[in-house]
Amino acid sequence: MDALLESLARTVPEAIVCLGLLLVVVLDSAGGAARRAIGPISVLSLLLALVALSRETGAPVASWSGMIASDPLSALLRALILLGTLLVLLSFDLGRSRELKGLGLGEFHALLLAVAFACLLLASANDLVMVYLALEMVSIPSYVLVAYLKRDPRSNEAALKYLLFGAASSGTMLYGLSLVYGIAGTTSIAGVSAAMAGSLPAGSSFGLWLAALLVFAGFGFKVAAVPFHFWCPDAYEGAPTPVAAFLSVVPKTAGFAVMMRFCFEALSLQRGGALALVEIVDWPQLLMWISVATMTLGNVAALTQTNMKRLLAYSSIAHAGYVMMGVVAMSEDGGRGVLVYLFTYVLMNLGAFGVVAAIHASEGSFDLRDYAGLHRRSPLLALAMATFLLSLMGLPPFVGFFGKLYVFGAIIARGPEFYWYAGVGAVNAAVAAFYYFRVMRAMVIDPETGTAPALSLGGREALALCALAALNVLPTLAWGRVDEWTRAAMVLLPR
Amino acid sequence: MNLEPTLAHYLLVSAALFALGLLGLITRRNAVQALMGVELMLNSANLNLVAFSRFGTGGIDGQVFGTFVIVVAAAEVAVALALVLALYRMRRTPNLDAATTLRG
Amino acid sequence: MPPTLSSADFLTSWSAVLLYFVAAVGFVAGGLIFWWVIRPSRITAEKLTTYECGEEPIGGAWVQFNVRFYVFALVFLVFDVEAVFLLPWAVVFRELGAIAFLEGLFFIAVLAIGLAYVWRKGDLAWVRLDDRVSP
Repeated sequence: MDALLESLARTVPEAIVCLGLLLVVVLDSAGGAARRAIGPISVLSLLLALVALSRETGAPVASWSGMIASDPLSALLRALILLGTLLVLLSFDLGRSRELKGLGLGEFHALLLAVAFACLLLASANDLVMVYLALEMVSIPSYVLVAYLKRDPRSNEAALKYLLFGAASSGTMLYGLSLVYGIAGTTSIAGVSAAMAGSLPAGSSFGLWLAALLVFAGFGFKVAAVPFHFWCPDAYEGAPTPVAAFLSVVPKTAGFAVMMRFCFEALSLQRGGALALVEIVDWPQLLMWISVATMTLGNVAALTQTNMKRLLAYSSIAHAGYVMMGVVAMSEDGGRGVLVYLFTYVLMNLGAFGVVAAIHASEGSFDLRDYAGLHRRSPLLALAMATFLLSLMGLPPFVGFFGKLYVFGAIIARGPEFYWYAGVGAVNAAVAAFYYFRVMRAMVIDPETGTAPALSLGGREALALCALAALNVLPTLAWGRVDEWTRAAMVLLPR
Repeated sequence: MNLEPTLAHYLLVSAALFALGLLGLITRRNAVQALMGVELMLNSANLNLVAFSRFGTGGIDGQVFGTFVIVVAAAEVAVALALVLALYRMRRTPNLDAATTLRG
Repeated sequence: MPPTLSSADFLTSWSAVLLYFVAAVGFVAGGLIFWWVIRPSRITAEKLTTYECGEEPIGGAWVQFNVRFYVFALVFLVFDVEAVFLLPWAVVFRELGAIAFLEGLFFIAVLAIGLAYVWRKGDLAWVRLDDRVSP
């Protein structure tokens, strides 16, 4: 009984989100007037979970019989996940959405909360079984979310592509996990590196490298890294815009959380007190090449896109490449780089998707060419979008700059043999500026083809976009505080 | 001559099953046949887990993991079949070649 | 590591299975082949029609599956895998104490909520009433 209560005490946010999810399903089944409470209930449960998370105290420990790691790193990542989900629910006016017109929203909230709950579990997963279960639970409701537009064949097609690709990746990852289990003799993540530190038959190192490669298929799929990214543009294009925004942020955070934990804890040995890691198998090399391919392909492919959602999809693929740079750095600076990048990425990407959704709700188009003259039709949207684009580009004083600063700094600190890698990143950032500027040019400079009326913007949407735009600038003023948080967070479970 | 299957035999069979499943998933035109490939991949990993549990030092963990995998595979394929059904309703064919409007 | 058999015992224990397999296949195949060889083959149009338990057959034997079966199969599948988890639990929860019992009850409760959802949305009705379908 005590063990259960202790474990529950360490996972109160997850419990709250889970209860919120069940309550939403019950309310949706009850029907009628009860359905109106669904939106507020889901927002409330996320808020309560955030509050509970901020009040979490206690030493880093593995709870739920070693399945969940309750340490500062997982706490910060869970906070990011909850923040991302909350921002999605608050900034997208689902009632005004042209896409979701006529569709019931009860299931939408339930599925969203289910994915958020699973992301929370994935971010603190400490065991291979938990990693697999949480990853699948993130994926399966998101397949349904992408297919939410029942009458749109493109939504169905997007979901099928996502599902087949996801099933293949998770099957591959499971095969890798089974090999890891076979080599290590245990399913606990820390146990894997402990086993490798002991005596194992010859060839285990290669076996573990192969298994790690297969496992990276699953992680790579979740964060849309090359060559596991094929589902991303189609899924974002076919899904309802709030779902695309959510998928680009929250599962990516959880995916990077588990990638970081798996690489830093299972595939590396900790030397000394601080996070000085020595890799057991050469996974940094593997991730480095994946990261280079991801950044390059994402940026190059985005150059020719005219559909805004596809453009943002390729842009988020590219950003995943940058985040991986922090994991490859294999140091405390690298880990902090990942955290900072993910934090800023939530703010920038949700803002960009929010503007796209707002324009679609009024105009009904995702095409870049229809964004012409936006600065006249809605100066607010144009200004907000410009903020988000400059932040995505990584220009100071916007928060997007800090993400790139931290990861580039971490990788350069690793040594001269990584300078070329940082150089590739810098070149890619420059290439990315091209298509972000293209969007800005379309909004501000391009002449309008016809005389379109002024855009109508809902009050809630306007407020949310203003808040997000402000959040893309304000943290710069208090950056010391953010830096402290990430420093305090890079503490993994003691071995 | 020892005829009893050892760990190597099980691993070989599961590797073959995995390859066949992946091949089926990639090449099949009918959506349901592609899903059969997915199931084959998941079950090959299951075979791996159970074999390691029996022959290796992992105790019963592999079999418990395998039970979870079975349940998750069932849930995944249920959702997948729902999507295939929706595909069939919209396009009047279960062929995945019909789902090609999203390009670029 | 479990005890291993010597090769002689291994062959002996599996030979019984082989014998059984051969006997089963042989019984079926033998019967079919024997009668195929012996019976006369005089085909008329009426003999080739589909069998429909004595009634006049309407159409061919390959009919389109009714989609309602899928919904029921899906719901059955989900609760069947619930049983996959409940059966081991039922065997050991007594030794594990009150906590295991409560955890099992929570699991069943979550799935009961799912059942209530399916029920209320009208998916358990064989004939789907359109006014009960939520948009």
